[in-house]
Amino acid sequence: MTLGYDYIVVETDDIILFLRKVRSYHLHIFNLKQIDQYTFSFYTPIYQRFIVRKTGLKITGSVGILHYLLIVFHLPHLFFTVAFLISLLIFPQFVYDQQISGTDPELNMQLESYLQKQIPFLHKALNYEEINQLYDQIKDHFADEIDYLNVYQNGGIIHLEYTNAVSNQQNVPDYRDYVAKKDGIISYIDVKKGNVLVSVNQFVKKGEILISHLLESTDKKTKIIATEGKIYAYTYERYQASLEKGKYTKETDFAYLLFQIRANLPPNVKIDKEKVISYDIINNKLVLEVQYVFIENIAVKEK
Amino acid sequence: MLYIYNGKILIKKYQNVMTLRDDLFECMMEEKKIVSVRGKNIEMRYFGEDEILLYGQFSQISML
Repeated sequence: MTLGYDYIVVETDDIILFLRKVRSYHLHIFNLKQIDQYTFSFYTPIYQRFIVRKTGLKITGSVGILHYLLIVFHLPHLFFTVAFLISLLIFPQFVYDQQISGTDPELNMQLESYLQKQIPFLHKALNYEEINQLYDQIKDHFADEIDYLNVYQNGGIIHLEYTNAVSNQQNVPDYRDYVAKKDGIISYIDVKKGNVLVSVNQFVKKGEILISHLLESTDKKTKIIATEGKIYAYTYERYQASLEKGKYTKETDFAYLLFQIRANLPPNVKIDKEKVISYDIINNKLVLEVQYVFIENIAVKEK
Repeated sequence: MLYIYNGKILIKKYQNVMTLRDDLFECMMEEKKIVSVRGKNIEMRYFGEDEILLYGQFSQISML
């Protein structure tokens, strides 16, 4: 019997007499221990509590699962127990939350607001037909954005899992050649499709074909293939900026001119080197000339 | 009826307890026979209507 015990401390000058009395009441005693000369402690099973009360013994403590179960059924705790049990029964009857699993935050927000419109807070729990209906509605509404979709209900929570419709986008093959948009020295080649006609460290001129759509096979037959890729090269550019003399202080003149040049640099280029060529006074104007070495993609499709 | 197992003594169908000390336990059985248990740290782990379970280091058990 391990469900629960009451702990009792008793003072007696004759333990033998006390045990006889206990026996006459058919009470069971566990772990009888002597605390001092006249004081003894022991445990009795909780289910014999009514006998303990009949004998007039005082319970000093209780242990075991039965003890905690009995506490639950006392008045202040009983209220919380009943409330908890009712909530266990009622909450699964309603939808009170939704969880969306997907990688696109924007689409997640759209799906969340869509679900909130379709299933308001504390909506009745969905059955299989309604879940299937919801699945079809979402599939239709977000046909372009969603590839795979899974909708299911777990308790009062609607779960929605999806994958983006990336795989649906098909690339149309392009057979045009790539040519150099400016002079440069090839830095590195990143080509997915096509016949590469240049090599690293090769100097190329503007208009030269970099990736060709024609490929000659070993049996001397020419094949037409799609082209796609990027070819990065070192390119050289000179930039000039001027400023009227005496407009600013000597210290800020150079900084202003350099800032003016840097503000006009093209986007999507990596600056490899920046070298000041000249800083002169021409016709009462301060003129700064800077040479840049860029690393940029020079391959553009032939028109 | 007496069961002895691994430092535990179970006494069944006793009449009443006569002595309960650290070193001595005595109880009366049927037909006025007395079971006497001697030892060290004798503890009564269970005391029921018709059986008693004793723990301790026992040195001598005798039926008188």
